[in-house]
Amino acid sequence: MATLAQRAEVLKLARLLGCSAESLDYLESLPAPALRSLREQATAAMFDADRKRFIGMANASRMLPLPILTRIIERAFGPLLCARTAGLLPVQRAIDIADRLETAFLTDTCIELDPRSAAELVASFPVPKVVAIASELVRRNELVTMGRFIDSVSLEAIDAVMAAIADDALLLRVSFFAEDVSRLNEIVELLPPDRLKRIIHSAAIADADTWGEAMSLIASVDSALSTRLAAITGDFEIAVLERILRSTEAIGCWDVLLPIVATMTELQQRRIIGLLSTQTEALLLSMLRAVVAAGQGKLLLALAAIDAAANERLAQLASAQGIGLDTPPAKARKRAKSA
Amino acid sequence: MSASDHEALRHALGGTLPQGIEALDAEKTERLTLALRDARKRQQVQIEAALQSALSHLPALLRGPVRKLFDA
Repeated sequence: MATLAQRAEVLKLARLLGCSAESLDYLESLPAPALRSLREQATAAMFDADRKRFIGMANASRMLPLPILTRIIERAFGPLLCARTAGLLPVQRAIDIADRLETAFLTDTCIELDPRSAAELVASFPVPKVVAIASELVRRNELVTMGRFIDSVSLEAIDAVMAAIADDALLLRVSFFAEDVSRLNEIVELLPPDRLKRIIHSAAIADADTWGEAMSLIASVDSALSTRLAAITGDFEIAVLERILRSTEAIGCWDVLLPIVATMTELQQRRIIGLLSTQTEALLLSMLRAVVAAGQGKLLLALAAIDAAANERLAQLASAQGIGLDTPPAKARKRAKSA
Repeated sequence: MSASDHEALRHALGGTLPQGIEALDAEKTERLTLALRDARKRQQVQIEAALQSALSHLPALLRGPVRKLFDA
């Protein structure tokens, strides 16, 4: 089963190539760094090949007065040509042009924009314009596009966008597509504690994929922040923790959840591990195989020791199925495949 | 993945192969190469159509010089 990082990469590549993520399923066998490298090269192949052609257009546009140029851009050039030339103009000139264009047109342009070539422009874009475009992108469900700009938009603008977007789960979905993990640290730090709690809670009670995106965020940020987010999660009511276990099973991401649980307080760990004693045999077996394959058997042993009933149930099941929790990961993966 | 599969993918990616891509078998490599080529072709068609549309809005006298700028 693909990891969360692999899924995010395939979704972003599919968006770039204009095809469905399902049509690229076969790439999920590649490790996430190889997929990222593939996507970066594909981006360069898609955007850099025509660069020379657009430099001429950008140069020519400098000769026209703004009111005339704006009219030509909206009526004749359209968003695709506009996006390709935007990053080649002096930043202030591009901002002056954008100031005269409608939000819908700017949003269309944003979807076609290559964030690498327009990073300086995006970073300097006026906050109210960024908020207006982001709101329109949300309305169109263009979350991958939003994620592509997280690294280059100013923190001030991101703060304003987060305040303008009421949908907590949606913010999480956008963060799933961010490129730079260190940027996620800065963004999460901007969120008030109540909002942060609401965001994770809404993901925990949403569908399994949304919970996967929340886990991806918790596992991606730096360790101090990750521990803080894990502590927020560990305090959720039992019914929500039950749901988290089922969602984790549905997306096959026990190897992501277990290290998160490991950073929780003992009391929180006790609440989660205690729930394992009442789970179905199928869920527990699947979890055992996944954690052993990920080399986390010993971590599970240590966590399970906190609750006698869960510990006994897991030990019995592992013994009956011949699953060694301290088996080296490579051997365990082989066994999991043949099971 | 054979040398010719390598070469076709390298070409579609504009020069070099990303690290780790050799793990794909020949069939998957071919599918990826086709997906990249299709995307690039679609993009070129869109750019050309956008340019034609842009030119059609300009006075006839200006179309030649603007087209030259774009094809430079």
